[in-house]
Amino acid sequence: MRMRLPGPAIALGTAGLLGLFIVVPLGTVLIESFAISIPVPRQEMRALLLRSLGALEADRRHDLMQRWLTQVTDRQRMEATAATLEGIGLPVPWDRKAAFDEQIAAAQAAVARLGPSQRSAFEAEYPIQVVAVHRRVPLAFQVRDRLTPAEFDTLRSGQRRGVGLDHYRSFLTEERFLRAGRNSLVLSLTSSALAVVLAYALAFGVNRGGLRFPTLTRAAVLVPLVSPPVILAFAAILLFGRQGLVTRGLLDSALGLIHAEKTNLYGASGVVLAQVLSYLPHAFIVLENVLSQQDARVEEAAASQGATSWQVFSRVTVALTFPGIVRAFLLVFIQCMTDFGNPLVIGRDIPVLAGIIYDEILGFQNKPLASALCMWLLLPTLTAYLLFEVLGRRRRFATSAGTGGRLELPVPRAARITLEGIAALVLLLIGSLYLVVVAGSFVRVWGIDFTLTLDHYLRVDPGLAQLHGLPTVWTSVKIAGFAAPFGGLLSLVIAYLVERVRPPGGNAIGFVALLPAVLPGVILGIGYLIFFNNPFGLSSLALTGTGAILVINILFANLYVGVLAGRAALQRLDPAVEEAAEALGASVAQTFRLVTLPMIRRVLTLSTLYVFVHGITTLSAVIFLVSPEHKLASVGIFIAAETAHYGIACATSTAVLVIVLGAMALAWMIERWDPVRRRSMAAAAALAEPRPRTEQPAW
Amino acid sequence: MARLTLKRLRKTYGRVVAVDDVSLDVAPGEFVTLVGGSGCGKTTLLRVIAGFTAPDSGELHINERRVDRLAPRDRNIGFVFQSYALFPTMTVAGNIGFALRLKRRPRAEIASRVRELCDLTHLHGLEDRFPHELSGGQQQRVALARALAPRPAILLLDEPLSALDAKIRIALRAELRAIVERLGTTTVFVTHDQEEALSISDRVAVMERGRVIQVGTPVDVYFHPADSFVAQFIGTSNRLIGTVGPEGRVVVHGTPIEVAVPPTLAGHPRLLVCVRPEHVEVFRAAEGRRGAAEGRLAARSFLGQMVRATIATTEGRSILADISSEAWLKLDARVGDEVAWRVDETRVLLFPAEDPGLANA
Repeated sequence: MRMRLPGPAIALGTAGLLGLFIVVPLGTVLIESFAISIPVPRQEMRALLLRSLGALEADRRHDLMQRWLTQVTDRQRMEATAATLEGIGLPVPWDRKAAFDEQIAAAQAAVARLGPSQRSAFEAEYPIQVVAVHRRVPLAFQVRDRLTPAEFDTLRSGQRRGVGLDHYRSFLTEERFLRAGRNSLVLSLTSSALAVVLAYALAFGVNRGGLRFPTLTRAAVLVPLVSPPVILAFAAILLFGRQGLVTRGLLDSALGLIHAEKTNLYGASGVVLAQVLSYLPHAFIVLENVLSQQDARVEEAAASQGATSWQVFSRVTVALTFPGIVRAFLLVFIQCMTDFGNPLVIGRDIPVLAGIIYDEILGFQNKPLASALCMWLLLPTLTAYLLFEVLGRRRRFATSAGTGGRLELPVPRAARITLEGIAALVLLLIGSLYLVVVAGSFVRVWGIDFTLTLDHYLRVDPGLAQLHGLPTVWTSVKIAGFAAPFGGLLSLVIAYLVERVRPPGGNAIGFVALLPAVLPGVILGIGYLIFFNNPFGLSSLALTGTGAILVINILFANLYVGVLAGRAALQRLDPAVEEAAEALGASVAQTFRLVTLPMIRRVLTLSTLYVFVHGITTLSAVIFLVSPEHKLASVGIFIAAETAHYGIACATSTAVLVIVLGAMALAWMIERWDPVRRRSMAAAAALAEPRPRTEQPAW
Repeated sequence: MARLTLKRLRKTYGRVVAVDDVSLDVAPGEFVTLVGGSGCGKTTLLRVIAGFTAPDSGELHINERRVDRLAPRDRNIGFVFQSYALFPTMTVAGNIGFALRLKRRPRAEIASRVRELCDLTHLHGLEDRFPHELSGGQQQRVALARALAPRPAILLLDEPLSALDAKIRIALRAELRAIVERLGTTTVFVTHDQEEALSISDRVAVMERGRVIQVGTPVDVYFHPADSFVAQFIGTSNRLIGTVGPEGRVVVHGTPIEVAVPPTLAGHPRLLVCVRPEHVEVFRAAEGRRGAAEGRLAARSFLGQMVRATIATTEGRSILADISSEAWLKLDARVGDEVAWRVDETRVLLFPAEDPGLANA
């Protein structure tokens, strides 16, 4: 299809936006990971010192120097002497490793021995070295506003930014990092395996096994997809923790089977439970998709050849859907590896890599180290993603040309009972976890004081600075609500560019838009934190601490959902329709607006909705970007859960859940109100009445 | 009414040459059909004319104006797609009036033009329906009306009838021809159905492997095919190899065929001999007609109006023969019976034995 303005303009603009808000922050993290601190060479420091001293007014300088020179201790004097001697090119004549008394005496002797010319050089240099060795920090703060930020840091710390692989190496050398990496891998593999097995059972049950309530099962399984972060983790604590309803209330106090203090779900088992249930929907969607496209006739053919139900299942169904199984596994694996919320809430004693990264930024402000660790985290996730792509690229086993009809083979009773049992268990678990969250929001202190209260909703405790319950929900709604329409529209424009307009570089645009889906959210968060603090060196343009950065971050981190949905929809539409518009005289923009957009209106609504829901519930990208003026609900929930303020966590979560479910109901209603269908239904009704004969040919 | 000129158009996709050095002249108001099997390049060529695909080289002129660098919307063409490609969210009236709405014509003008076209294409009364409420034939008429609404200089149709069933196709193609003739629009029509091509075109361009093998009126192309591929593709042909004897006559062994070799084909020791089934006569074996050869009725297909019989010759070849149903009844032959057959020698087509069409067929 020919490219005409503004086709190239739109492509360029989109590429620019994606470049600025996705590629640049990622690049920033990459660059930051190589940033190390190296000691400043002596001469350079001396020059900086002199410059700084010169920046002071003369009498101020005089006062400070006087004060500093008289305040030195003996030992400090000795060290300054040694530095001065080195500075003027003389050897230091005493043993620097001897006892300090000896050194002090030796230093005084050395000074006394100096010749006249040496003496004057010494006298000139000595005050400088006193400052250099002992008073750098106070000097730095004295002249802070007259130095650049980089100079200030260098003066204060004696270190300068350099480039090196030190942080990368520390991952391999420090045991705590290696252990965290191992933990991450083991936990993720376990959770992924379990999630895929469960999801397959559920998808199979819904699609072929004749589960009794397929819609209910599907809805229940998909709820965690739109839920606030870590909700399943702290809900599990409420049920299975030390004071949990099931562990202490039921099994300990009532039945005396266990000691809740010792036997509870904290640790690996809790993390696995939370992750399996949180990411079950991802696996379920992939597997249900694959199973429903699997032609049931193939299984019927196998059965007609004499295969037992188990043989049909294992040799045909599983074998043919195997690529889907692997894809689901990889998808969940990526999610688990990049998950820091659940482990931090319910598995504090099992450090994971994502959690370490989070600690390094928020706790230690060590951005370079966190960046390097992010790069290490990328290795398994990118590998998994590449495998995912390779498997997806390979043609799915093409069975016959028919679409997958419903399998009508009878499922053996034992199998059906097992499937129904699994479904019941999962439903029960998910249902009770969500119920306990709602219940917990009305209870004063779960597990200890069960008096009913509305405090968690209404009262704002100023001591819990970060938490602030319900007001954060309103902020989240505002910010996500602002980002959503732009995100939905932009994602559709990108889908249209990639699928229809196909400008040069179109595939690159599509790829970049999808990057946030595969990368750990923390990477984008760190990138925004570093880059937008000082974009292109202009701190006046800094966005950190504003609401704008949250809106932008949410928009671009969740764009991919809309892009994926848009591309799928466009692939199903006949491209000839748009060519027809073009032949009739429409430009690219007119075609998009008048022809394409109405056809994918439904997708636009869905994309906007997805960006909104993801925006409200996203945690990892935004956790470094919130500020006192802009507190997000997801961050508040996480911190409340982490600090055991479960009441607030429950209340905020319940509020978010209500809003999200409300938004989805709204979208569902919008879908039903389709003017085209409405009028056609009216027309169909009119058709039913007898029409007057017209000059119509028989066809 | 516009003249369309194609000059040495060429389009390749990697190593595949889809359009190979095609030149064609379409006179104003003429109806030309591009016909050929799948993969012959006819649709690609049509899309190059429309501007959906850019040619690698060559020129395209509409009325002396060079258009091959222009976007489709600037060429003043109308295009009718095989899949109709109607705008699903607009009514029939909306679809037809789309081009005029883009040009911001006054509403009254648009309404009257829509009415005019609905009358022309017999869509009266359906203006407020949506595409999914129409039959296939109705949808195709809407597509035609829509393409004609902005009064295009050239109308291009890409296998517009392929998705319809046989009877509707036959009725609609005549209708289409009538409409276009009434408006006088220069038309290029693409189809793989040679019968369709013959029935409605002023001229037919037979394409194969990206090249135009022959351009001519339907009668020309049928009775004087340029090579054996055209002979085979347009209508049906029996293909036989004949040897040229010393007297300058070509003989096909096992058949009664013996024909003089025209001067243009002198010097070939062997020739390709094509005979159309309708030029093969079949008799009862016993009748002993002059110039008939022996054969056996190997198979027969009753097609209602006629019977297509397969005759096995004494040399083991199969010859197709078309017999009218009346003659068939009189023949009263059954499969396996001995029959006699002969050929109308004035209608035998001769080609060189190394005929390029052989490779194409």
